[in-house]
Amino acid sequence: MAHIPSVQFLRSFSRKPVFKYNTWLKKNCFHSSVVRATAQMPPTGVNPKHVEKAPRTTKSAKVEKISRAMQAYINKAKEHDKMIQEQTAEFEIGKRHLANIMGQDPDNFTQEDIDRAIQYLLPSSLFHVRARPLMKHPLEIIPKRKVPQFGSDGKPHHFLFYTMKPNYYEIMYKAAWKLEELKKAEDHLHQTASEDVLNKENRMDLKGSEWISYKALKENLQEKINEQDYARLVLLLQRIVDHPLSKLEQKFIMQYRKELKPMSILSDIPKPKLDEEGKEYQVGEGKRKTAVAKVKLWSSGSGKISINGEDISYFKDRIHREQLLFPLQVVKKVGEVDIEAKVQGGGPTGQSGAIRLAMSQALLSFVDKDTQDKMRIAGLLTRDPRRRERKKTGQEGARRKYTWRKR
Amino acid sequence: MALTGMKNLILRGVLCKRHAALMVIPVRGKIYSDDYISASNDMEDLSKPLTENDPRRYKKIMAAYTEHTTSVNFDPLVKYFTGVMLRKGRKHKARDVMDKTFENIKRIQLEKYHKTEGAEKATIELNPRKIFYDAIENCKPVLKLMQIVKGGVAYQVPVPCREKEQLLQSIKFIITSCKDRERNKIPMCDKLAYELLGAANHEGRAVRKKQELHRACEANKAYAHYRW
Repeated sequence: MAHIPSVQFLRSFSRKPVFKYNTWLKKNCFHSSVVRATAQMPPTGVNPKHVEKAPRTTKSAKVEKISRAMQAYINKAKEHDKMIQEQTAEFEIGKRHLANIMGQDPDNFTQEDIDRAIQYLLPSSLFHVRARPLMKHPLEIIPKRKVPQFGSDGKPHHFLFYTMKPNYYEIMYKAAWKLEELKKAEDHLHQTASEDVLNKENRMDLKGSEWISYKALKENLQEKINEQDYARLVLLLQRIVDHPLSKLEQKFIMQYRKELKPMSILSDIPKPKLDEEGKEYQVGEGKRKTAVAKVKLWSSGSGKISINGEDISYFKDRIHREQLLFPLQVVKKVGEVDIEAKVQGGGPTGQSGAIRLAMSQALLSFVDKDTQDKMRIAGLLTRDPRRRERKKTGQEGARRKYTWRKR
Repeated sequence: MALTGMKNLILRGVLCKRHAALMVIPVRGKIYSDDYISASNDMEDLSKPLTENDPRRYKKIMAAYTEHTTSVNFDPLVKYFTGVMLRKGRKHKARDVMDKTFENIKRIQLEKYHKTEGAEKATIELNPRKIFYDAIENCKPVLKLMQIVKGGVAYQVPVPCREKEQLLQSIKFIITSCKDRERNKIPMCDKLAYELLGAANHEGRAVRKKQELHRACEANKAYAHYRW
């Protein structure tokens, strides 16, 4: 019944029905002079058992009543379960019908078969994937039922329940107190210890990581937070990071940071080929705007360039000729390679850009790993995704508006 | 629009500046996602090994722009100047004018160089790009005039210029001083060459325009406190 959120930190105290937060706080936060005390977490909560089985006091004369909110929740949950059951039954029958229509075995009709059948029977020309017809198990489509956020007496489990975003504000709350503790510890050190202690490397090292994205945070919290909330959280966490004693809170901070993987060139770079005369060569393809280029590049040459049968004067403008030399200059092979290029479509800018990309791809086979990385940093291996912007209705062009006239 | 709207809110005291920093300003027509950072076209920069914390190690790189090459002809300031001079999107033409201007400067200086004799020869600058840089440096104003309305009267208030404004204003002085002359008789590349040569020696219209602005600021210095 219980759907447990995937992230560990959410569990900390939201799920335990009776947890005296205030006592814990007094013990660990308010009167502590040591910063490390804040790093201690309260005992992680156990998943709530079925609320219907909540312990009832039989000894006392008063029988504990189920609150209205809980009653409403139970009714709703029953309805939801019933609806899911019905939908599932309907889906199973529909699946068998579909299998019969397609002339296949209804017992071994998988989801892939369903997708194929739907695409065949109801062909849709709608562009967006979500706008096309689909048939899936109801559990995949219908949003899951929420675990009750309150006990049988109607009181919420979480102390920040009425903020509407308890998980988000819990993090904010913790972070704010952690920052305060850090400040207190810094003051303490200033008074007692010599300044060398503060000068030591007590700052966090954040190398190779970045803040988790807005989307990821939203998914982890499973709450409706907006970008402003996200920015506020990052700002607060950043303040902890910037503090001279931030290393004490490294574990807390790293929960909200994502490790970055170093970018590297594709591992399988093709080996050079041999032509009829025994010379090494490589081919490359490139695109820019609407131009498409195919380049054949010989590693041992004398710097010959031919573009659609002409030499480099195919491009009239200096800028476009310089573009062709750009990758060769980065690799330091000007005048050492021969190039044969074929380009189609687009104007001179697009064509020269396409040849540049194709050349760089071909050159990868003849250079060492460091140079490959250098080419990546120079922006030679990325396909330029920029295009001509479309004209808009009611406007003169992409951005320009019609001259305003007073009727 | 969004930006100016926000500025108004700040001025009216609805928002404080800290709030504004939190707001996400949408970037129109942005195609690259935030995973990308711009490429480098500096050979010196490229030859250095990447440090551990360098974002280029972890992020994707944007494709290099058409004009950003490792060619000797590339210069960021010349590129900026060409962009300001550009009219109606005719970049090819603007670039052509720039090239011809440098050629003219070189010709004029070489002629001067061959005509002079003795020790004076060494004083003549033959590098047109150096002259170009000097000219722009000499035309940079320190102050600018801002119109501020107080009590229904508009005052011209002298305000210090930021570095970026100085650069743009200096370039604009040079370009507009070329455009004032009779239009069709002298081509732009000739006018620009003369103007740059003059400005490099603290002469010519562009420098005079800068001085006029300074004089106007001096005259209005009584209003300087209206800035706050």
